[in-house]
Amino acid sequence: MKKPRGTITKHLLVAPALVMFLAVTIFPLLFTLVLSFSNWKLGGKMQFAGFDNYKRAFTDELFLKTLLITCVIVVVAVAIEYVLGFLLAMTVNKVVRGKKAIRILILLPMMLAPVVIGFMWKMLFDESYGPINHFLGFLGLPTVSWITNSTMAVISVILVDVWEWTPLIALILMAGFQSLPKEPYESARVDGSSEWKIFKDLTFPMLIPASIAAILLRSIETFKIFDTIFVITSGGPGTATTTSTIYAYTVGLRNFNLSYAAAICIILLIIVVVLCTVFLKLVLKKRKNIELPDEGAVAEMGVAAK
Amino acid sequence: MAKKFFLSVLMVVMASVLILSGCSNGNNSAGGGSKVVNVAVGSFATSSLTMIKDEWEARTGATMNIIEIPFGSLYEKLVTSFATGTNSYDVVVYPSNWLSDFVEGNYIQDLEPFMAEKNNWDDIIPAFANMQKFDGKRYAVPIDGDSIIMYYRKDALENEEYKKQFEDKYGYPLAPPTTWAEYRDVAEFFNGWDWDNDGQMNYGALEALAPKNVDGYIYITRAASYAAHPDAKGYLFFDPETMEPQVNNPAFVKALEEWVEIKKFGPPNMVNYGGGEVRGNYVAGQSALAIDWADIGIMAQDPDKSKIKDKIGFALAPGSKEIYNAKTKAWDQQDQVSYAPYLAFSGFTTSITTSASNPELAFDLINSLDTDENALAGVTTPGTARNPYRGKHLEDPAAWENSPTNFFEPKGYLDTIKESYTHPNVQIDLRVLKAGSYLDALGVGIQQALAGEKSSQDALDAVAKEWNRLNEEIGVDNQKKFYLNGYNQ
Repeated sequence: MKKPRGTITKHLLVAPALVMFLAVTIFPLLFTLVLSFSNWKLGGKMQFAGFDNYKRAFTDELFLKTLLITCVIVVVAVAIEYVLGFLLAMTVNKVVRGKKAIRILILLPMMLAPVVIGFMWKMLFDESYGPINHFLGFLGLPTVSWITNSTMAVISVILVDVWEWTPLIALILMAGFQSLPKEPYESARVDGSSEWKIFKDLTFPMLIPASIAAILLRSIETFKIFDTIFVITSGGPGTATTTSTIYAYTVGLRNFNLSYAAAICIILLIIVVVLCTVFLKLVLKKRKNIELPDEGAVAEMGVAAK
Repeated sequence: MAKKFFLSVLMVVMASVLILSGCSNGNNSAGGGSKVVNVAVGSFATSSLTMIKDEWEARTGATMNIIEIPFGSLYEKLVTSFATGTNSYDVVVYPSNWLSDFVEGNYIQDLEPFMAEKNNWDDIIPAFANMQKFDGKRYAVPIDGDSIIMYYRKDALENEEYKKQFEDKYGYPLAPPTTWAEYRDVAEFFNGWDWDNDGQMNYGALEALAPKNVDGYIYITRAASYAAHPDAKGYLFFDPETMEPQVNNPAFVKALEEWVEIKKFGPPNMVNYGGGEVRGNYVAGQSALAIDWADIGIMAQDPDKSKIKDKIGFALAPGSKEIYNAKTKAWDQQDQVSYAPYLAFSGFTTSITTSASNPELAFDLINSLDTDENALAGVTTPGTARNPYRGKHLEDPAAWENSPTNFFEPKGYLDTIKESYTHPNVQIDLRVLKAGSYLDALGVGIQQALAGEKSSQDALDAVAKEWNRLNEEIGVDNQKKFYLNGYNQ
C-alpha cells in the first residue's frame, strides 16, 4: 500500500537534520565508546581490548586522584556559586533602578574567553608581581602562595570558577525571581509572616526548578573544567589541580593513548549522568516533602517554572 | 517503500559528504602535485621560513605554503595527518627527537637520494648530524641545535665584596659554579636580597619547574651529571641490554632531591615558571643563575627586554665529582668534575613526508633553510627559535657582533655552546618511540616530588613502573632498536 506523497516529503525535509544529528552527536559518542574497548594507536589497526582500558582506569592511582580533585572542585565551586548567585539575584531583584545595567555588569566575567580569564588570574595570583599579594603586603598582611601551594592552588581555581560562573547562576535565578507570582506573598504578608518565613516557605521552594537547572548546568560544566586551570596551574603544583579532563587530554592528545583516554571520557560521562540523575531524584523527592502554605501558590509556581 | 526511499536518500547524503571530504583532502595534498610546497611548522619556528620565503619563491617559481601550528598541538596535528592519510603536508619542521616515531610510521622519506646536491652536510656538529639518521640513512636536515647550559651574572659573582662574604660563609672562593653542590651554595647566597642595588628583590637561581612545560629537560640536565658515567655509555635512560629504566636509580633520585631543594632559592612562584618565564625574568635581571637552552644568551642581547646584556656569563651546566655507574651499580668518586652536557629537545629539524608530491622541490626548500648563509642568519636573528648547530656558527664571533642580535662579546657564549656540543660525555636526548609519553610520565613524577606529594624515590619508582609499562606496550625489542640507534650512529 502506497503512503501519501506528503510523508516522503516530510522525511526528506527531516533527513538533513537527522544526518547532522547522527554525524555530530551520535557518531562521535559511539566512536568513543568503541575506541574505549579497543587498543588503537594512530597509524595502527584497531584491536579489541575488552575491558582492559576500564580496568586500567580503576587501578590508575593518578586517574582516581584526578576524579577526587574534580569532585571537590565541582561540589565546592557550585555550592559557593549557588549561594552567591542566589544572594546576588535576590539583591538585584529588589533594586528598583538600573537593573539592566547591573545585569550587564554581572554578566561580564561570563563573556570573557576562559583563556583570557586564565592569563588574567595567573597574573593576579603571581606571588612576586601580582597585585593581590601586593595589596595584601600594603595592608601589612602576609602574602599568599596562591598557586604554588597545593591546597591554595585548589582554592584558587575554585575562586576563579566562582568569579567566572556565579553570574550564570544569578542570571537563571533572576529569571526565576521575576516569574514568581505575587499573590502568595500578599497573602503571607496579610497573615503576618516574617521575611525569613516567607523566604523559607515561599521563595526558596518556588525557586527550586530554577535552582535545579542552574546547579545541574554548572555541575556538568564544572566537571569538564579545563582551560582556566590549564592556563593558571597546568594541573600543578604536582598533580594538585589536575582534573580528570586535563588528565584525559594528557593521556589522549599528548601521549596519543586514544583508547585509554576514550575509556576515561566514558567513565566521566557515566559519572556525570549518574550524579545528575541522583541529584535530580533527591531534589524532586525533597521538593514533594516541602509543605507549602498555599496550594494555589504551588500550582502557580509550577506554571511559572514551565 | 517510503522507508527504503528514505534510507536511500540518507545513504546518498552520507556518501556525498564522504566524497566531498575526500575531494577536500585531495586538494590539500601537496598542492596538487605541482609547484606548491605545504610546510607544517610549530608556531615559534615560523620566522625561519618567512625569512627565506620571497627569495625561495622567486628562485624556484614555486609557492611556499606555511601552515603554522601551535607548538603544543604540533605532534598531534602531524601524526593525525600522517596516520589518517590526509596528506596535508610536504615538509614538516619538528623537534628531531620525534624522528623515531616518524621513521617507524614510514611518514618521512629517506633523504639519501637527494643528498648529492647538499654540499655542506659535513659542517653540521656531529651529534646533530647523527640524530637525523636511522640505520645509517639520513631522514632529516637539522636547522637548530640544542643544549642546556648555565648562565650567571658576572656583576654578582665577580663583586669583590660578595666574594669575601661568600668565602667567609662557605669556606671556598666564589666563582661560576662547576658542580651542582656549588650551584646550590651560590643560589642560596644570592637569594632573597637586592644584590644588584636596583631596588628590586633578587633571587639565586631560575629553572623552569612548571608542569607540562620543559621541566623534564631541566631535571634531566641535572640528573645526567650524576647518572651519565663516561664508562657506561648509553645507560642514561635505560640499561641498553635489558631496557630496564634507570630513572629511579640513585643518581636520578639524588638529582631530584636537590632539584626539589633548589625551588627555595628562586622566586616564590618558581614552580609556575616555564621556559618563557625563566628567560624573560632572567634577562630582566631577577636572578644570579639560570639553567636554560642557548635562548637566554640571545634574548639577553635585546635592549628592550634585557638589563643584563653586558653582565651575563656562560658556562657548562654544572657537573659532579661523584658519578653513579649504572653498569656496576656503584658511585664513583673522581678528582675532576665530570660534565655531561645534555642535548635536550635535540633541535628543530626538517623532513619530507612520504606523501609529498614533489620531493625534489621539497628538498630544495629544506636545503635552502640550511645553506651556510641562511643558517647563520637564522641562528643569529632573535625570535627564530634556532640555536647554533654548525661548526661555522661557533667560529666567528664577528658574525654575531654584526648580526641583528648585535651580540655583546659573543666569544664566551659560542665557546660554551661548542664545548657543550662536542664534549666527550655529551648526552643525547631520549630517542625512542613515543619519547613524549616517557617524558610526560617523568613530568608527573618530578612534579609530585616538587609538590611534596611523594618522596623523590617513590615518585621515580612510579615513573620507572610507567616506563616499563610503556616499553611492554610498544614492544621492548622495538624500543631497544630505536634506543640503541641513538647511540650507534
